[in-house]
Amino acid sequence: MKDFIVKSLVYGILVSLGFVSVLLLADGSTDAVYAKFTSPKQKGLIVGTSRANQGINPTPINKLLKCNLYNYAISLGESPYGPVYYKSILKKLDRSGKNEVFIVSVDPWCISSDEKRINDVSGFSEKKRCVGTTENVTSSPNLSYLFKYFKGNYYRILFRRISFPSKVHKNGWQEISIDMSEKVVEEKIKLKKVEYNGSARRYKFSSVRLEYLNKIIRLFKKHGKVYLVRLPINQEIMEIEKKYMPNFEIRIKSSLELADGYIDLTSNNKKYKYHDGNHLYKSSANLVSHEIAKQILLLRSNYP
Amino acid sequence: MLFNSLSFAIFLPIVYFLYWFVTSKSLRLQNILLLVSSYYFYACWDWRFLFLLMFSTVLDYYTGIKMSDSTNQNSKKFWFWLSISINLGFLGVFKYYNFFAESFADAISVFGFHADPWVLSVVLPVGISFYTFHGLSYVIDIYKDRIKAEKNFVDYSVFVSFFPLLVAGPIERATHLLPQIQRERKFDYSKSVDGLRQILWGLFKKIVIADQCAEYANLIFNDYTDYSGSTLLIGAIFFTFQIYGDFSGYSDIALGTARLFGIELLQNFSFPYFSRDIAEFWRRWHISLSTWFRDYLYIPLGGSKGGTWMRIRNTFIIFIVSGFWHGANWTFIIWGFLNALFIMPSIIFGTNRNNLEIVAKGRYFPTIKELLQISFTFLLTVFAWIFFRAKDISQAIEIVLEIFSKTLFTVPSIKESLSTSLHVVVLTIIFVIIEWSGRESNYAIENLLISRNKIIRRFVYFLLGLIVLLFSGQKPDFIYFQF
Repeated sequence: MKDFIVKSLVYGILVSLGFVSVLLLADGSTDAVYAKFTSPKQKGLIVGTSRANQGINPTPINKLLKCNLYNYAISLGESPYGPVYYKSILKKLDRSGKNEVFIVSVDPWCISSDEKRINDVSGFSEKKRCVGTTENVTSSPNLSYLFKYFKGNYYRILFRRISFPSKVHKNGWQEISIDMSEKVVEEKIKLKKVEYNGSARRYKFSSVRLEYLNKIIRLFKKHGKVYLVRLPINQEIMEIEKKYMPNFEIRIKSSLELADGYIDLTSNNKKYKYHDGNHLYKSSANLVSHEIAKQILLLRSNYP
Repeated sequence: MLFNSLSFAIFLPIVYFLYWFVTSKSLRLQNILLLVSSYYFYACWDWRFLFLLMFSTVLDYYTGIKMSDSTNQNSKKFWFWLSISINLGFLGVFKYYNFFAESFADAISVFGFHADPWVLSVVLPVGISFYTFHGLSYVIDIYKDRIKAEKNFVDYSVFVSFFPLLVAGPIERATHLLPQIQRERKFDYSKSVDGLRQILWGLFKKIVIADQCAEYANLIFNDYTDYSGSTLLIGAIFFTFQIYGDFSGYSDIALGTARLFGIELLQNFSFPYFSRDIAEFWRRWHISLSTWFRDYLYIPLGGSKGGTWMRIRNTFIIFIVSGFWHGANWTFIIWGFLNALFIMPSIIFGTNRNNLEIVAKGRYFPTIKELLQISFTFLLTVFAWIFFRAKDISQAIEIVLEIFSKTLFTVPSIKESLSTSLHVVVLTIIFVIIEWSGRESNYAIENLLISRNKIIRRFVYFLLGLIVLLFSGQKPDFIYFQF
């Protein structure tokens, strides 16, 4: 019997090792989040939802400003401002940093909640999602994340490296490479408009989310300068947003006062390309990132 | 607790360790351990239904003893019918009540009457059809004086609830399993290795074949109106492999697990898709259920003794009842009816026992005739599975009509997600080749590469284990849990 148990154990260990060695190949092509939870603690962060995740590439900014930005924005479902995202940011932030740069992406949705749970923290949906339940956000490989949140079968880790149309870079930026033909994009914009009109009916401003936005700004201010950025979007979606929260800038007045600057790029909405109306396409994301860096330089020279 | 879950991977070694190291000196303790583990295993699904299982066990145990002790036939008959009616009563309430209530309402609406059927929103207790049939066979065997009632309550309870077979069979017989429970069991190295090997093959069938085929079968069946006849046929073939991988995979894991504890369960599958006619298919598919119906329904109805017409009648009865056993839906009944229809030529011409041995025994390849017979039988089963898988009869008919239309000869319409199904096709082909090469064994890899170098054989086992883990991730239930 001893022989049987020893051989079974050796077999189990060898197979598990083979399995783990495949999991070790997981990277930024595995899914839209995995890489964010495998990078080490960061001194400077970009936070926000998927607009910032796909729309701000830290590399041009880091180059121009000589800083250490890492894109830790995820998605509206995962990372609207609130206690869950705040806790996750605390885990990701390297608090030894001084004079760092922080970019906080803002829009009406990231300070809103489903009308049934406007300020009910215990009912915020992100609590049960990966940002809320991943204890370790700096472990590489992050096996607990893969076991809990990787969708589908693990062998796909091998194939996504070749075929997945999205890649989260080492700096946290999610680059999307998809069909940008006019017809496809138009269809996606149409769907997004339906989605946002639905959200506009369902969502309401949440004072708790705003409170946490301010808490995040205060946290970042201990380690450097904080700039609020409103990213450009398709003009038709912008109209829905304006209708939904016409007084957006008044709503976030307290945040604007706390921050070291506000960069609103929505006046140039038409200048950029979006793959679905809501998210900047990779070429435009690079342009926008460059623009943000230039404006921060300008703000720095005006308010040193 | 699913066989393909992490919790089972923890549960099994713990029970195994306690069984062989802590309780090995006492058969009674071993059986108590098996019973407690089995109840824990069942309670992990829903502890409330454990009481139903216990009640059913106590009922059959008690009525069994009462029947055995009866000095007159009337008293024996009373206890027999009490057990049968309560067992079938539970099955009726939990599984069939809604079906009859709704069918009655539909039927009287044809005559212009309107009735709102009072339907019960009850959950179907997992495994109820299986453990009820266990109990029924035990009670019938006592009534027919084939066996004596078991006096040891623990032994009897293990017979009903032994966790490897508790939720989806095989449906055991007291004559086969009870003596094993009562006999001292000794650790056997080669049997244990064989058990693990069969578990590995069962996991491969479930996780790699069934779950992958399910993804595409579901995609096609759920949006069946979007697809051409050729694509729907591919969907039906995917389902054909899904249900085989799922159910025979479960049975392999059950048999392998039981073997680890020194217990041999009845073989449930024997390469059914290599059958040359439908009669052979039914000797190789869900064997424990087919033989149950043969012994407890077909033979009591007169079997084959009363001439061709009686054989035809009895065959239709057992196939329709077998379909109904699977679930309270007309789709299952039609599936049973179709199988009865397909088997008719062999019944009428008396050729139903022509193919008793596995095809191409001792040869590498089948003859052209055998290949044609296998293909034809396979296509008949694919056709019947459409009814089994469809949500309702109208969906099944729409699918069948589309398959038998001109669109059968068009190139399958591949949606984006279907285009990634190539790996499933490749894996299924490899799977069929392995099954073919091992068709003379109890399960495909029982003797695979046995004469080859040990290192090659171990590498193949390593590869199989690795593939199983890599294809894990989603954990859909086993199809037969719902029955």
